[in-house]
Amino acid sequence: MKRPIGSARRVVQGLAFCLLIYGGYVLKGAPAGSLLPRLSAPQGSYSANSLPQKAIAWAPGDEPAFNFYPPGAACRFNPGGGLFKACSVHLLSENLTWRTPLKYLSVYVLVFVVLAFFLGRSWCGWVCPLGTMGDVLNGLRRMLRIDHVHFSSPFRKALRISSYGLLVPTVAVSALIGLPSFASYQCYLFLPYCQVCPARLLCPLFGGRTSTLADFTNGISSFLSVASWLVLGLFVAAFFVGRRIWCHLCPIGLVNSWFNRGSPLELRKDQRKCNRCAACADACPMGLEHVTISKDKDVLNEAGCVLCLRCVDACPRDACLSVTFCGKEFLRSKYREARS
Amino acid sequence: MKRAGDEQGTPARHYRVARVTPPAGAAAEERRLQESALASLRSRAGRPDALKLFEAMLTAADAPAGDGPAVGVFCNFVPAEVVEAVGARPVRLCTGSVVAQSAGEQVMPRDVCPVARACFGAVAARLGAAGQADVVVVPTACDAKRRLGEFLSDYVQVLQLSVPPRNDYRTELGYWVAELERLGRDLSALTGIPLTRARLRDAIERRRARQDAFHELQRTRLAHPHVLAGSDLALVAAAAFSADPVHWAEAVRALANEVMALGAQRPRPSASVPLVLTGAPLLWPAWKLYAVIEGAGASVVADTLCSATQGLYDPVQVDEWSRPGMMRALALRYFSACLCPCFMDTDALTDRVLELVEEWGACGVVAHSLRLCQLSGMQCARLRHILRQRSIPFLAVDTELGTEDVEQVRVRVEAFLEMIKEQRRRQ
Repeated sequence: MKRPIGSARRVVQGLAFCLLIYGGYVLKGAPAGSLLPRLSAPQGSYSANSLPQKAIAWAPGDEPAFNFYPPGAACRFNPGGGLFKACSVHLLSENLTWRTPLKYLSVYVLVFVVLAFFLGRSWCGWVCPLGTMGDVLNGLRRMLRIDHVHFSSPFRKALRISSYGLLVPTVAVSALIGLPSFASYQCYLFLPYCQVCPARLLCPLFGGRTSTLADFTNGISSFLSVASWLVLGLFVAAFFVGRRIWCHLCPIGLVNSWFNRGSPLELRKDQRKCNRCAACADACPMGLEHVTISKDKDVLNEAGCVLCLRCVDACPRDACLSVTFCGKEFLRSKYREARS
Repeated sequence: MKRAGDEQGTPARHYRVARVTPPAGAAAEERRLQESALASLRSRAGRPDALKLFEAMLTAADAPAGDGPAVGVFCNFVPAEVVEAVGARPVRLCTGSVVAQSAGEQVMPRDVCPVARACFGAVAARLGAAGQADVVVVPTACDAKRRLGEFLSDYVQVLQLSVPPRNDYRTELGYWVAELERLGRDLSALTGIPLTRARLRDAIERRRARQDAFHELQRTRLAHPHVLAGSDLALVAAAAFSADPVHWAEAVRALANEVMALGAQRPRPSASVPLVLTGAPLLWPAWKLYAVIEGAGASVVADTLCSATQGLYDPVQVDEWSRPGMMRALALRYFSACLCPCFMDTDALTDRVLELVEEWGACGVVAHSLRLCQLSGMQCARLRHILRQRSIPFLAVDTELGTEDVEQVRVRVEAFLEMIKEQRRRQ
């Protein structure tokens, strides 16, 4: 079966992956890199010596090429500093702990919000390097002709609640240790989610840096190293058996999901053209059913949707599903012949 | 393979009802019925030549192409892919023959669904294509089909597929997939060929040629709707029931090319009234409604009939080529996308009718309300309300398989067309 949007997405994902992981080497010193305020002071104080887990410490030369936080999970631990600074969870954590002045923070947040607003969660489906790695695992499973595990709607809801369970404490702890009276905990609790995030293990690995993989210098760092491997195991297993079930748990995806509804990038359905074949639901890597079952809505943007648009590829009805940007249609479903 | 009735004196089942004997001269009478239905089709001037291929396929239904045992199937619920994957060949047994119907009445009461009577008669008396079915698959789509399966089990091996009344894929898909798996197991026990992933994939890809060709024909028809009559499209669809899918698809491509060429030559007539046909199936050779509508100067441009284009409409959209993935895709295609009024929710059918009216610029909707079929009767009543709200002219024709009431049907259809033309004049 032909999936032209899927093929385009694979190309975009590949490019985005290379740019996010290796772009730091290539584009460092680009003139556009200094457009946004560069923070210098706080992170310097978190040298490898002051943190119990050296894995999350800055290494020399870790300056990103572009000093801002895009919605597409650009990891701060990318080799050479990466193309961008970091992800949204990182943005919240470090700036709350550092108590970054509002005049700097507001610029970072504004850039993030604008990018997230215009493209919604398509950052997850088209850009996020974790999602790309997951899609590779998923492709491996498909090649082996093993069926995926379908997770029920209550399970997916539970994962979404759990992702709040990851994000809220991360933000709360980061804010708390920013207060002078709790500053002594900073060395243990700095960037709490990063300490277990699979991106922190995987992204540096692609640049050949292994220093973030493990740190057994003390009890805390050993515990966190083992914990992060367990999470990584969960990540690999989730993507291998359950398509993008991980993305329901991801706190970075959660932040993006707030911008999915109301984004000018819209997935639309012409109800009358739908034949209820549910090919869209079968193709949905997030396991969502709303495209099939929605009966009265024209716009189908939902929090869980990563806008990968596999449903538009799968839909066999001409112009039943379409994608619009600011009301202008640029993609639509169509019957595709198997041959030709 | 043995038929239940073949073993003399040893009934296959304890409760065997009665032997059904084909009426005297049934074969000749059946042929006469088909010839007269074909003559009605041929009476229309300027038909594309490629239709001869389909006429030949339809009348050769007694000996369908292909190897392997013949598996008789009813309804659009049975995935031909599963049948073909285990090395059997599917033969659609749904018939509108009054000869078969009267044979069926030797056992079945007269006041039940005419299609059930006819289908039962065809299998029990071994008429036409039904004569070679070694095993029959009956989905329990409606009450009549539920009983039909049991009635037939006295005469031939029957595999029943239990159709859930709700076609919500979230709750019922797993059940339906299990039914298809069971069908695959039972059929492969008969043929000795297992339902493997590779064989299923081959069958799905082979069948896909049909959908592709049909969509090409529909695109061509949309540009030139006046070339191919609705009855001829129904002929094309009816031929698909038993023909080899690849051979059929090639013939459809040839027909599409011819329609394109003819459409460019002939101007579109302005007087014709385009109609959408919906409701109960119009089963070959009981096509008097087509003859009446087209004889009265209207044309059937689109339909939702399971006897016509509905079965050719939706492709099997496989997302993952694992075996469960393919079975799921088959279940979605043959169950979720099905517009049968046997389901609790018929909004999909209503949506399709409204969509077809718009897409084909139809002036009205005619529904075939098969007498004694509550599902189509009640569906028509609901559709009447919905279409009235949208000021779309609607006619429900309540009729049976025979031609006794053809004049009454003609009067009603002509009055309906007159009303539409009157409306047109006023606008």
